Amino acid sequence: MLIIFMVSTNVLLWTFSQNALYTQAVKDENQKFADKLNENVIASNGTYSVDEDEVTVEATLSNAGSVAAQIINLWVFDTSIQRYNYTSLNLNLNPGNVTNLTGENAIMVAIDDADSTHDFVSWFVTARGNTVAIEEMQTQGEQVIVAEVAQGIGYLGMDFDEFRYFKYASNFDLADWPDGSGSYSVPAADLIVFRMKLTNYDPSGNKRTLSLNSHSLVWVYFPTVGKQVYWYVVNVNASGTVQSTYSDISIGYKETVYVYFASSSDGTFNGLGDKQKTGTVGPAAVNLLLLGNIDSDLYGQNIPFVSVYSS
Amino acid sequence: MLVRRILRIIFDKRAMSNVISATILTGVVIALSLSMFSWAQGRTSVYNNEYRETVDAETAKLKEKLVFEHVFYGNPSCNISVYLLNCGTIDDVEIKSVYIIKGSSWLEAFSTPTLYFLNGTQIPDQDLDVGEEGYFVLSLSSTLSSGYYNTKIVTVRGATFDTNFVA
Repeated sequence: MLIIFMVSTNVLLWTFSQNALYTQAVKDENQKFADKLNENVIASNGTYSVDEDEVTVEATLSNAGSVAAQIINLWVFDTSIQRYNYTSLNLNLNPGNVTNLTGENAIMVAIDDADSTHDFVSWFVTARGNTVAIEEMQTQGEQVIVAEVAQGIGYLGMDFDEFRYFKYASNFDLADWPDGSGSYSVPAADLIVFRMKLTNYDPSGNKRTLSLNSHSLVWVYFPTVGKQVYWYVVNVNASGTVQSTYSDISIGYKETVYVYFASSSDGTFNGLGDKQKTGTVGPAAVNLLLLGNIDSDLYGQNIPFVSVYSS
Repeated sequence: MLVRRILRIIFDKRAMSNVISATILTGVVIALSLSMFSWAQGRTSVYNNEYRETVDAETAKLKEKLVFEHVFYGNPSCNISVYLLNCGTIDDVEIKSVYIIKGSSWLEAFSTPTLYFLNGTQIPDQDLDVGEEGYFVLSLSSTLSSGYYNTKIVTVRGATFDTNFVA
């Protein structure tokens, strides 16, 4: 009896200990599952632009959940050519955090033969295994842009927040490169270059590429004195040097580019003789006169909304 | 007198047989008890080991978690590429078999597909450790008709994971 009792007790205790181990494992997994369910990352305001084979994805990530989240991957799928790629990330979001992946923080993914006219979908992957699809900036954003900017005025939209001017550091080099200064108040006595950030929102549905020719310019008009000054479009290289001859700037559908206006001559820039300044104190209207081609058709657009104070 | 008494005690067969029989009986009982104890101990040890192995296996299976980052059908048209992330809490997740299912019927089954890292190099140990990502490519014997399909993965530990894709 004693032996039977001992053996039974042994077995029973062993069973209990093993059950406890299994129960602990189940509890741990349940906790992980609950954390996974509570993870709630939202990716919104997604935009895609393509430069050669590099797809640039801009989006806003916000952690609306109750647990911290780590983003480990971004997948981009070009639905037009059925190709895809990914890039590894290491973004950590505490509850309530919002991260803007725009500008220099935008994410680039290489996809062979990608084009700005293509359609893209993309999604983030978290370390817990959730996938977060990027909602494209279409619903509200594009309706506003298409209705009030593109269809109402033309194909190109201008980003008011990115309107900048630069002084010169030397004969051809820009100072304060690459950020420049806010343009709504400009120095009257300094030779300056204007920069606009333009996006092609071709509303026709044909996703056409637009090119700006050398006749495009910024025209500044001082109504109080009746004076006008203009800056023709120029090319500026990656290190902030104005190029002496202009070659057309191409803007793909939904592609955003910086366009610089510096020269008093159409198509050329020869340094000091072509530099411009406002030369007048007072308020001025700034008109952006854009000319070129959209596919094989001629294109012209005037964006008149900016005003500056020259002091 | 004394000598006689001592001799009688020594050579008294009745007393001897009682002691011997009691000793033998006790010895047999002890021997039987020990053998029974050792047998029972052996049996419970076997049972305990089996039970521990079962619990360990079930616990390991429970800790396995594979998620599908991406499933792509096409390019070439008979291939399915499946991208996985081990977001569980146990290393060495090996894939034993993969099934392509439409509705309730199996279309094709694949055994131990070759795993690659996302950069395209082959995974040396052919398993996914915690946090590791990898993919495998299934070459179907024929193209899939357009529709809704299910991919089911069975690991060596017996866990199953599945997801859907559209062909």
